[in-house]
Amino acid sequence: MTEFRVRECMGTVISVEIASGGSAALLDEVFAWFDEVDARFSTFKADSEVCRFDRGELGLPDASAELRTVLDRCADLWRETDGYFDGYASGRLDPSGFVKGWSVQVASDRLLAAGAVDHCVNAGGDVRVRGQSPAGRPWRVGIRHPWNASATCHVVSGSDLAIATSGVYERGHHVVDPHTGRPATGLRSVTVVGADLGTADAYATAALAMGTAGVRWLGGIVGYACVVVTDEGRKLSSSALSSVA
Amino acid sequence: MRRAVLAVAGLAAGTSLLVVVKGGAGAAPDTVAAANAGPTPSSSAGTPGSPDPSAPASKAPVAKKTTAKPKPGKNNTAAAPPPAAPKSNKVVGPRVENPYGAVQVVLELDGNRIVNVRTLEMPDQEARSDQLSAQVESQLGDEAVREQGADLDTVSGATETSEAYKESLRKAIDRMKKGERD
Repeated sequence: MTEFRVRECMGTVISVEIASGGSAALLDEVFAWFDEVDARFSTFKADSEVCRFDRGELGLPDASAELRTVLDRCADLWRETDGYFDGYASGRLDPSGFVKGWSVQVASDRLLAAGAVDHCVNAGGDVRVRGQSPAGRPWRVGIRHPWNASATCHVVSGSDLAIATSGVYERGHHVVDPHTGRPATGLRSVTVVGADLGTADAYATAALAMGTAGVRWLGGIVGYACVVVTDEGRKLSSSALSSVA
Repeated sequence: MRRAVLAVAGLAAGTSLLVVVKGGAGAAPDTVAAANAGPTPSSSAGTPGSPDPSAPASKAPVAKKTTAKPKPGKNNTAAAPPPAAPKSNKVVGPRVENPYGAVQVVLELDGNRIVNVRTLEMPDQEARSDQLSAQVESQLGDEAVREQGADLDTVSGATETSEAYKESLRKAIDRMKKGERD
């Protein structure tokens, strides 16, 4: 039987659907993990570990394994993206652009290890799917249409995929080019699809911040495919994700 | 990378609804609070300040109210409306002001599953008409963006992180779990 639960956590909506091998206890464990991530990494909570570390109250040797993992990955991603993914873009430590995707990836890995091989975890639009949907086919994930919030503009289907989208269509939401300090322009929406959701999340954010040059940059990334919508309303998609209909 | 099975269904029929057509919505929501929820601003979607021209309710066949069969033998104690028979497929959160203007969240549902979360377009939204002479990479397919997608399980998209967004979202979920629909 399908297990489904949705909750507000980490400042967004998180839904977990387990098509087979699930249980209420397993859902409890997944959401306990997201609560733990929120308590540790929230930049809105002054007593979170990430804030204490940022203020210098906590040294790296005393940091949790999770925080050290996140800091390591953020440093790697800063290099991989020519500095366009920057956990310090706001002037203080804010790894949120990686943490959301990463925490969903960890949740999905744990579900798989617990025998829940068919599941879909979605945290605020960052999606990790494995196995089959309750309909007995690969999961079908729509990508939001940048100009119509109630429509989608592309469909990705698969049984082992991480899908992250960054976009500037929401009100007040903008991505700053860390090299110029100005809002990035050129791309309206960037979706990155691959194996690891934290990485996909960071790549999508970085490409959006690069603007038009982000399209070329994404084309050179091995193991990750993309769907990009430009400010002009062009949709560019990797051949691995091109339409088969 | 693991060999991921990638396939895309580009459906020509522009379906603007994100309704998941499948049975067995599964588990009930976490809890159904029987306590008085207080005056939730449920009708805010209809105020002049927040039009929602793309709201699916008017077009959605599933949005029909199930008025045909009132359950016999149930006396209307006002406590704990069962969430099993939703009246429509969306819940609108309250409009919450922030320095950029206002935010209002809409949950789009299939039964008790959230299929999509979006914010209402506000009339004062900045209309950015950026010109761009995009140098399109040759290895990427290039086409005009259009609406496509049906029979979806979930949606990937960017979301806000503002406090106003969170507040509207939290209240919309609370209302959803009480079985309220707009």
